[in-house]
This record gives sequence, structure tokens and C-alpha cells, in this order.
Amino acid sequence: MTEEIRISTMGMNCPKPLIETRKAMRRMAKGQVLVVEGDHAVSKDEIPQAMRDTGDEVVSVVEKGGRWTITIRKG
Amino acid sequence: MILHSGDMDKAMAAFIVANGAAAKGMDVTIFATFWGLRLVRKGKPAKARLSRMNMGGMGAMMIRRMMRKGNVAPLEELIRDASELGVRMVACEMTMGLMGVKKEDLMPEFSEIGGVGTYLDAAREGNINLFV
Repeated sequence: MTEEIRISTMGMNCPKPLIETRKAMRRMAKGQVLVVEGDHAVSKDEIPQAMRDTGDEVVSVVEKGGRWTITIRKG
Repeated sequence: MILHSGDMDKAMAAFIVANGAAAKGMDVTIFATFWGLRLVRKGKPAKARLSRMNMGGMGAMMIRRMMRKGNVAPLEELIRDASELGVRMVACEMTMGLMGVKKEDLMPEFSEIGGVGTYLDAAREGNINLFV
């Protein structure tokens, strides 16, 4: 039920990281956690904002050497 | 938004905005009319031409190759994504009659058929309205 889902958007260009994140979120239940990995720079800021727009909780955004990991809890 | 253009570059812009808006939780309706309606027939997005520098299809081929190299999703994929994210896609009934386009000719994502009133009922609820 609260099992964590992981997706990778490594190498994807705009707007695919955001699209794939939202597609995954739509398939999840409230309270479930999604971990998104990627390397598209703009998406690192745009994905958290888009998730907040829909009332989902951005748990953390971690960046290291151009790669980022965003953790979201579905609201 | 209204998709009037059948050009690949313009339709790309339309579907990128539509996907982005849907991903941000906004209600999105695309009303495809005229050249845009002809574009959303089965198999056509992959063959769409450019609004400029098409050069008999050479330009479009070059752009598609560059898109593949740059990991930019092709138009047909963006249309499928938009549908999965809940974008409402309406085919213009008048254009279908005028140009002899049948429902079964259209991509399945364009399952709804409507007229100017259908578009306006959606548009008047929106804060962003685009004509592409």
C-alpha cells in the first residue's frame, strides 16, 4: 500500500521528465511515495512546483553532480 | 486551445504546453480544426511537415533526427501522453465534413467530436487560451 515507486528520467528532455512523473503519480494511491531520478536541469525545479500545484508533498530534492532525486508523497 | 496548424513544429508547441498544463493539474481541452484536424489523423503526426525550411520533407527529417539525438519526444508520443494525462481532445465536426475525414480516420485520442460551441464552453472557463 505505502510501497515506494521509483522511476528514472535519466537522459530525457523537456517536457518528458515532468510528464513521466505525473503519469506515475496518477497511477498511485494517496500517501504513496514516488522517487524520481533525472538529469534534466530545468525539471529539477519544475517537477516540485507542478507537484505542489496539485497538493502533493515534495519530501526532498537532492542534487549531486547534475543528477537529481526528487521524492514526492501523493496528496 | 485551438490547434489550427498542421505543421509539426507548431503542433509540438501545442502538445508540449498541453502536457505541461495537465501535469500541473490544469484542465486542458484541445480543439483540432482545419490543418490541425488533418494532422491528428492516424499515422499523420509522424509525417508532419515543418512551417519553415521543410525543403520537401528534408527539413522535417533533419529535425526528427536532431530530436532523436537530443532525446526530445516525437509528436505522436506527446499526443499519447496528453491523452494519458487527461487532456480532452475534440475534433472539429465541420472540418471533418468539409474534408471528408471520418471518425475512424482520427487518432483514438480524438474520441470526441464537437463544434465551435464545444470549444467556447471550455474556453470561457479557462485563464489561458491559445490559438496554434
